[in-house]
Amino acid sequence: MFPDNDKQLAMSCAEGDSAAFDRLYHRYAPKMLVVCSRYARDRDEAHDLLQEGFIRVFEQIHTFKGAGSLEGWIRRVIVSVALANYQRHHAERSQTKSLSAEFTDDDQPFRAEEITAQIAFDDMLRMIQQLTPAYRMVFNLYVFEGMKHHEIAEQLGISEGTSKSNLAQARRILQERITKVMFDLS
Amino acid sequence: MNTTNNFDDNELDEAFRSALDDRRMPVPPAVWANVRATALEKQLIKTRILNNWLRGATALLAACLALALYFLGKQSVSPATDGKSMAATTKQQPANPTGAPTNADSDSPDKPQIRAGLPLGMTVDRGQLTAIEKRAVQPAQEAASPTLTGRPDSKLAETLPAQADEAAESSNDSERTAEPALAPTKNRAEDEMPEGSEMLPTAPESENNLIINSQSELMHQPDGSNATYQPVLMPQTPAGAYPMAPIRSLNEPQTGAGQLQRTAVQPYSWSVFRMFDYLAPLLPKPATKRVHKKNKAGN
Repeated sequence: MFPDNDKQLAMSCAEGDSAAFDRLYHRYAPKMLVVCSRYARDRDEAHDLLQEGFIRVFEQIHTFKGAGSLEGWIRRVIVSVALANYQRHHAERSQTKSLSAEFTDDDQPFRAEEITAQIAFDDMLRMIQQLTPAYRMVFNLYVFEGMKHHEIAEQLGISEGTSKSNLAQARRILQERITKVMFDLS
Repeated sequence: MNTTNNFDDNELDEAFRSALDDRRMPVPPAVWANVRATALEKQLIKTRILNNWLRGATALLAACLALALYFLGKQSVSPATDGKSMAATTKQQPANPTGAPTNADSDSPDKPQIRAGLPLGMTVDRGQLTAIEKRAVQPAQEAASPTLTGRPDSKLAETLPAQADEAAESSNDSERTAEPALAPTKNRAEDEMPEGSEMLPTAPESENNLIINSQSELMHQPDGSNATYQPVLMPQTPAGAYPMAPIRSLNEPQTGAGQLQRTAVQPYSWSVFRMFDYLAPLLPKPATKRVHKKNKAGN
């Protein structure tokens, strides 16, 4: 009988119970794959991030004290792995890439419910993946992880102004693409 | 606040957040297999590292143990080393006061080499034996008048003093009559004793008091034709004392003339000699006494 409590599950994993780790993986891997997909350029990179993230989880599961949720802890581990991967591969590139997108003026604003209702999950995920790595990282950290700009700047090794600029450029690109998709659908 | 005309930033963020958060994607099984394989590989690497550390610790402990055993062994060997040093220092003692030939004396080129004409373990005929015996026994006869006897029909008897024959005859009733040479060692000091007095066992004057004893010199072969000459150095004992064991046969290989023998004799003389001296009054008197009495009776 596998423990349902996250703390007991983590303790079982820390004791080297492979069945408990199997259960932990299959419980949280589908959610974590979405997280990895947001930080990755494509699906393969997302799988690599997921694999590396769960190996890190396996190595550091003994540090989980049960103060928060196990899912949040695993998510932080996955995000740290994604940050490390970004700093390893993409930190030197595209931080100052100018926004070339052109915005169109439209009198009719879109709401969040409309967007999610009309645009599929995969399309929205693909929009994020098509951002440049710097924009994607800042957007993910600010929107999904709830970090402030000074924290993002510290994590990515950039200035706070660069973080704000990258976030603004990422939003503009996403708005352009969403607008295009919404008009195409309508 | 608005960066575009169509979107509020918060609406955009909320749209993505609500669209992507708490969603699930099917994970291909290959990812889980890779995760397990990688985790096992990392665990194996950790185990190997731990194994290497344990090996190093074991090697270190083994080295310490070997070192400790080495020093313990060295300490246990040190008494033997002290004995060697004692023998080496006593080797500088003066020569034998009795003048009896010893192995140490055979080192000098002036003295006759007892073992010179007799290779180790050589079997000779009786005729050759006589010459070898003459050559070997002559220095001992001159020095300490030892009794060297052989079988009654041996030509060796011609070279022996008269008391040797008497000793051989007198020992016929003893248990050792079958042996070729049973004449005990006769000391020069014993000859000078007045009649009726018995020499009490005393400590040997020196370990150099060695004389040629014929007790085990002639080792007759079963067919009686050949004999192996094995002269033996015996420590000179006072009359009435228990006969000493032979220190060393001259047929044994010798590297340095007399050196090894003296090294072996030294602790023997310090311990066993004195023990025999103290035990001598309690032990049955050997045949030497009877020979002495018969000699006195004959005289």
